[in-house]
Amino acid sequence: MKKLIEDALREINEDLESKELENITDETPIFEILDSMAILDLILELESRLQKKYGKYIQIADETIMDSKKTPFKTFKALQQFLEGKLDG
Amino acid sequence: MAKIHFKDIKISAIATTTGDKKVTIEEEADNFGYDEKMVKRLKKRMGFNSRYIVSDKICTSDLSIQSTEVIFEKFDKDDVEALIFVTQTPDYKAPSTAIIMADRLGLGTDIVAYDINLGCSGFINGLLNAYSLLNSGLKKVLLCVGDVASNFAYYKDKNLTPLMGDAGSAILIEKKEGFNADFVLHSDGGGYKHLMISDGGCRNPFSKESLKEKEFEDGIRRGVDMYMNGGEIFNFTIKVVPKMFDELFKYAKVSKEDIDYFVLHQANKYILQNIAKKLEIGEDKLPMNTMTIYGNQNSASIPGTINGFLYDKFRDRKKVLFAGFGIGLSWGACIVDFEDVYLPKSQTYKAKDEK
Repeated sequence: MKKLIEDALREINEDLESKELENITDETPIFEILDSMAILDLILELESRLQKKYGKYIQIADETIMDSKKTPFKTFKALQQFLEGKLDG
Repeated sequence: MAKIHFKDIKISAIATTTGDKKVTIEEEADNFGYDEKMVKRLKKRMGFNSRYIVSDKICTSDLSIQSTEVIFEKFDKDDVEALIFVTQTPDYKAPSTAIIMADRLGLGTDIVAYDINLGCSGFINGLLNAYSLLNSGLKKVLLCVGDVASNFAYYKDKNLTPLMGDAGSAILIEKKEGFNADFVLHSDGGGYKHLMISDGGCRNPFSKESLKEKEFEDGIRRGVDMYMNGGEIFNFTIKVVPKMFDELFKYAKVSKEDIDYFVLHQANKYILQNIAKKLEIGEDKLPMNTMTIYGNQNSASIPGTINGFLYDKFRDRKKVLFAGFGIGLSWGACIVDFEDVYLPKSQTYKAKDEK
């Protein structure tokens, strides 16, 4: 899962060219770095990669995604845990 | 949830007129402070490309009247007993623009005419009103929907303006045996602040302050302009739209396989892609290109999508799902029987002396 997220972030960073996304750690504050368009972009990228890997559509977006307090995109680690939970669910 | 079933009512014609000026994202980039890189990103990732807006002083009513005149070339206007105009951009604060439009169209005085103030869910709510009047005994109803969004989307607001297009549609609806429709509708005023024009009503009367530019993180706008909290609207949409589909399928006793086309309000590419993926259907059944070419046409985006992309698809009987969601907050959907509907291709507005 870690590599899948890293690859998705690298893909969207080709257009963004954010220096903060060049060295990703567990604490990388994704929601802080990305604007709302890039968040949507990342969701589409992740959903498409998850579908390719697991053979089913997994919806990532819900009403917490754009909520700065509740978003699962706060840090890289939080996103990884959120997606692992989605797969288990 | 309001749930309503109608029988023996048919949509006979739909026509859409867009603004007369095509503007591209490259041409407007300076207004929004976008550099070349950002423009490239918006085009590639979000599907931003062009939008059609009106020249000065052209109103939504002008666009809808042109659409109606196209319909009246094929249909007799004598039996039209009601004109409903759904818009957020009326000609005047008062009276209802629908009454003036009825006069301009020569519909006589034996007609009921009124406006409804709604945006993205306006087509569904307008249809509901039209079906209700026909169900009550009227023979033929003309529904006009649309907005001149360039009237309320400030040219420097990079958050909202690049999305918006101007359009006015006309829909002729009449009694006809064998055509059914099922509606579900919702409203939630608790979220009104997320998409609104704050100044110019009784709560915040228009003042000099209303015209002062204010700079926000997401763009520059004034009190008289539309404000959108994009994150909240996204959250709202992702929460309510899929649920509404389930409600409608259950109420209408149909499954997704029974639906030939899904024509949704065209505001957000992600939402449309998300729904298509969830329903496991392709873009051929759920068109999503309206915003890329015409811009978000507000209450005219559903008819605008039909006239823009599906105008040759409805010769045989089809079951079509329409869904609108946005300002209010307000959301609704319906499933209607569609057959032999007159659907001219979308046209751009032409001033009378240009025709």
